[in-house]
Amino acid sequence: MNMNKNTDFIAPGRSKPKSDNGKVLTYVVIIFIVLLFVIPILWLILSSFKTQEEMVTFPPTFFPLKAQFQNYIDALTKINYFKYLGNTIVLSLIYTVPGIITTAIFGYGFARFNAPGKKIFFNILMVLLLIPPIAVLIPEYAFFSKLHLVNTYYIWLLWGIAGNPLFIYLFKQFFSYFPKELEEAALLDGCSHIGVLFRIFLPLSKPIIVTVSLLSFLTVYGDFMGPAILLSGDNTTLAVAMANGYVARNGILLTPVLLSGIVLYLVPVLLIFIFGQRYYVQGFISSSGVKE
Amino acid sequence: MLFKGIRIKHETKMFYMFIGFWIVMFIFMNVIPMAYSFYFSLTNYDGLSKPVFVGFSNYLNLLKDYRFTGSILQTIIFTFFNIVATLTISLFVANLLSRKIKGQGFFRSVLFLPYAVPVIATVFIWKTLLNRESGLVNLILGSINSSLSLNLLVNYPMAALISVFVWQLGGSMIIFLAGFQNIPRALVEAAEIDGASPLAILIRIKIPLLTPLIMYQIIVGIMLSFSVIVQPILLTSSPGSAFTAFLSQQPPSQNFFTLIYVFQQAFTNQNFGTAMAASWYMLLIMIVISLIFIRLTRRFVFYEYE
Repeated sequence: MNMNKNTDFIAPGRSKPKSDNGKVLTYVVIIFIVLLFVIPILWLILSSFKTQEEMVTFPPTFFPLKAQFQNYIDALTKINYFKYLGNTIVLSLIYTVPGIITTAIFGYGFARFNAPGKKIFFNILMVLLLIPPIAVLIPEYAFFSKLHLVNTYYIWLLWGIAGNPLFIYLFKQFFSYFPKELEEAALLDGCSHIGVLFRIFLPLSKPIIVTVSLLSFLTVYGDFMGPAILLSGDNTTLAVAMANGYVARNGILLTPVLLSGIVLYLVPVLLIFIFGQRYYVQGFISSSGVKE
Repeated sequence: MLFKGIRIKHETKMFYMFIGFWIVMFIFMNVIPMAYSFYFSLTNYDGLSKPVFVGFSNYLNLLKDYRFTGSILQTIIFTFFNIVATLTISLFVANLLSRKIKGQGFFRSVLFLPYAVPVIATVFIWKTLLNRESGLVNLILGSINSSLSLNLLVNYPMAALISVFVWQLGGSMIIFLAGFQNIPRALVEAAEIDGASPLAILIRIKIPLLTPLIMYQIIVGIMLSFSVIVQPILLTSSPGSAFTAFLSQQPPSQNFFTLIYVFQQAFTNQNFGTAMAASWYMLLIMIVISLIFIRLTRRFVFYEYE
């Protein structure tokens, strides 16, 4: 609005109302789109309180006739919900915690040293960044079954310490911003490179550690194909257990119970999203190479 | 000079000490499984008995399998429409959000949220939303006219599937939004002073500056679209059927993609040889499409820093 003078000069008498209308229109369109994006979540929550009959009556109703809290109790008892939730969290931690340490080491290596062959390995890392993990799942399955690792959590430990290429890249980006003097001063004082990484760089890298932890945790928490193919029975995660477990004796899917289970499954994701969003978004943007 | 030589050697040594384990794991987790997979593709391995070498016959037989060739065609069609739909809409939304508006952070969060929703939750949210009986879409249609109802999941399975990915466009939107915010103000202001309309500024200045990002997103989009498997199986395979085994459910032919073919050959039919050959075809097609695309668009891409 401060630019009235300029715009009036270009299009006399028309520009001010036009830009106001434009602004209103922008808000209307954005709010409309935001509603479209929120409605599926609302619909999930509303449907999770409906009865099995309401789910199949046509035409559907917007609100449940009577909120069925029983669905949530069924969701927790029909399958051993807390056991599978525990499995999921354990699996996420097995992948995340050792993984953070090794990816930080790899990131430091790529960020702080120059060596013949570095370019080749960095390009390999960039290609791995593009290949979706699912594309190598079957060869990995064949390989892991040769090693008798199928249906164990060691696979996730191996995946973790092998270093997710995205996380290595994020650490590498973050570490390359530290001044060379910081590293040299510590080295002169007799600190080793591992010491520089763990005593100086990592304590200064809280944002990137949080980002990688969140991304890493959510990767395993939300994964379906990995546990569906590589784990079985009681060992599996919540995602797989929910997709298989909420069935009545006659084989009919208990949709509202499943949806209640999903609402509960989403709670940790929402909490991470609300409190860690800044870090989550940051990791995302850095991965594309846009500067902020 | 000698001192310098030793120093360089030391740095090289340090680099490989830091990266060495990664290289070992890369060989262990990627190279060996890949080599394994190529070896299996030349055999009739069924997961149990000893593999027998059969040469390239798996590759040749696949070309005669109409389910395989059909799945390749469907994957390419899906990839095309999925990328066009998600990227156009996310570019449009990012452009709206990049304007000076109140509550920008809030809007951005809400639009980004669906991206964080795990795949299994997404699928069942969408299944309830588009369902013929209990779906919201039919509730809205029915309130307009009681005879209106759409069975989207059965009649338009690919469109239904793409709508899931449009809902989850948060990731690409965030990247485009950062791109829009990086565009130098001076450029846009100069154009405004010259009397350019917002649309002209978008098409002539902003989009050309964003072409490297758009390229990046399209390449990522190709990789992601080829690796879609959970959504088509759980979203569009026939509802009501008991959840026996996840992979033995059949999505409608429109949504029968190559990766589904690969997994079903491997785990339902125990044809590891065929599955591996099919996945090598898939990888080859992904690479070829990406390379052709990069070649064709090279002269339209604007690289600021070259």
